[in-house]
Amino acid sequence: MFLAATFALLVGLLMILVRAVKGPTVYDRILAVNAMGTKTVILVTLLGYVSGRTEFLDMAIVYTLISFITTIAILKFIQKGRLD
Amino acid sequence: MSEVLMIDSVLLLLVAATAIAVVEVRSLYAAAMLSGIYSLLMALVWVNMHSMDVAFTEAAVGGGISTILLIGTLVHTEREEKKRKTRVNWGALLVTAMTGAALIYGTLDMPRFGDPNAPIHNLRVPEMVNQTVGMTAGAKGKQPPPVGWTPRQNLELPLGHKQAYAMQRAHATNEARLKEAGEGHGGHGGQKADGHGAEHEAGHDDAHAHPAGDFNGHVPNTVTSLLAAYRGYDTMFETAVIFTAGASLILLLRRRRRPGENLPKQQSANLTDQVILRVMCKLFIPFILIFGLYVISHGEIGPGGGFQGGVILATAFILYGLIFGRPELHRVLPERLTDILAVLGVLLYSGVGVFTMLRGGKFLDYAFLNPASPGDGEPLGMTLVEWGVGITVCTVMITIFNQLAEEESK
Amino acid sequence: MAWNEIVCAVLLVVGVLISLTGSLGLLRFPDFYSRLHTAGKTDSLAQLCIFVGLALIDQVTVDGVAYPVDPLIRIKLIMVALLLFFTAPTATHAITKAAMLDGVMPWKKGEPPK
Repeated sequence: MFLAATFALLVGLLMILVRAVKGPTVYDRILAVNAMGTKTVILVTLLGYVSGRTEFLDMAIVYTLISFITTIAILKFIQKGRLD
Repeated sequence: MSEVLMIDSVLLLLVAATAIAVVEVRSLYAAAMLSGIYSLLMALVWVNMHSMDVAFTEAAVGGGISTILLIGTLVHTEREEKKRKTRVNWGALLVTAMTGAALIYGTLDMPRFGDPNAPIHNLRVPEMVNQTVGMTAGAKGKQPPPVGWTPRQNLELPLGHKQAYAMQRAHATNEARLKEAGEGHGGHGGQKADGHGAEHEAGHDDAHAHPAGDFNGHVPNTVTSLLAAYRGYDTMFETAVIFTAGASLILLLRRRRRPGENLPKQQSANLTDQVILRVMCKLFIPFILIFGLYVISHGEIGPGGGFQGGVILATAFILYGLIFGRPELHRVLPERLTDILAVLGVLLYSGVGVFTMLRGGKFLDYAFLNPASPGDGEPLGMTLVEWGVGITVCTVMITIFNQLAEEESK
Repeated sequence: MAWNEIVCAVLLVVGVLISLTGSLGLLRFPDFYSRLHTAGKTDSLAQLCIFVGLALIDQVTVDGVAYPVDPLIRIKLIMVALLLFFTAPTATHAITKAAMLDGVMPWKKGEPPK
């Protein structure tokens, strides 16, 4: 069950990767990174369930907490032209 | 074909595709984004191989900070890579191909993937599993011994530890209590082994011996045990490398004030006019900080440690700087303070080593931290060391962000 | 199969299907804003389904060995779902704003897809 879900999500990962490589704008790529971040959180948890080691979840929390910061940095740079 | 291998092959294909795309793509923004995807995929590969600590590092660094620093670098450069006529250099291609072939040839000698008989699973591991430090059944927060665990026979303690144990045995009250319990604890100094089996049943919180020639202790997270004890010097110098990186960035990029000169007031930008981001940031920074502190102090028990936790902490501060502007970040965390803390982190790590030396042990021999209970020196020493690493990593990351942003505002 | 495993399986199937539609939309839709629409919305719902489904399970069987799932892990799963519910839309909002400010124009019917 978990394994099947993992493979289905891997297929989704492939589609997102194609979009990330194709572009065409940089925002499509950022969007792809974001979508991939969410999928990674799910996949890490599922992989933990596949192998019976549910403590993998700590890593999912890290991604959840910090992965949206990249987007904010990009927004700031585009809007204000600076990072500080 | 096992499921691990199947997932692995899919993931590695994706990783290879991403790597090629990073090289091929011309927009530098796109390259930065694709490298973010690369790190996500690599984290999945590590998780799939059950190497949690590596995956954790990849998540903490690749998830947020590395992309931010890449964008910080892009600020100084162009958005597009310059077009250049490239010609195939056949000599270089040949050398590269031959190196690759040699590397692949080298892997043929490696043990099969997941081979239970591979040397890494056997070399010294039985001894490591055999030791008792940190494994007390019933004691709170410690692991029970593994199923089928039998103590090693004929344990010889090194001289220093014998002395430590002699000191410990002077604690007469403790000893009397144990004797009363009738667990045969008298053979603590010389014949540690037979005392131990009983000790686990008794489940008391007494100190434990270091078995000879082991990994210098044993905390539940074997990776931390390896990093902080077995190759503790290595980790110390890695911390020093990070510190050096921060120091050189300060020397290269920080604007210096000459005596009598007033620097122009710093310009900066903030995003406080954006309500959603401001509220979200206020809501999430406490979570990130607490999780970072948890990761640092939990390093010897679960996945994580000083490096990962330090990066997570730094991410929280950088988020604050992004939303509220860098002057505000300086108000919370002055540059002077981060400089001092970066030094203090390295000093804390090496200080633990010097302290154990002053106590009569070797450098970073955690057993000497507390002679009354040498076995508990491992978790204590590792926690201290992780804090040193965490403080240095966190402050250096903030410094790097500061310097990259500052240079741009010139 | 116990009731919680059946519910979990159903939620997993639903979540994975939603997630896959989102990925497909991200790949096939004609312009940035419509792609944003599919990716942003489906991700939030899919992760909620999957995490709630997983939180219902109380033991995992691997190669015939049953590993109990710590109650703390189940609480953490719900926590991750809730946190993602906040962070993912924030990120989507930030991208949209950045794209608008940079002058990315929405696609209109009849134009070639971007």
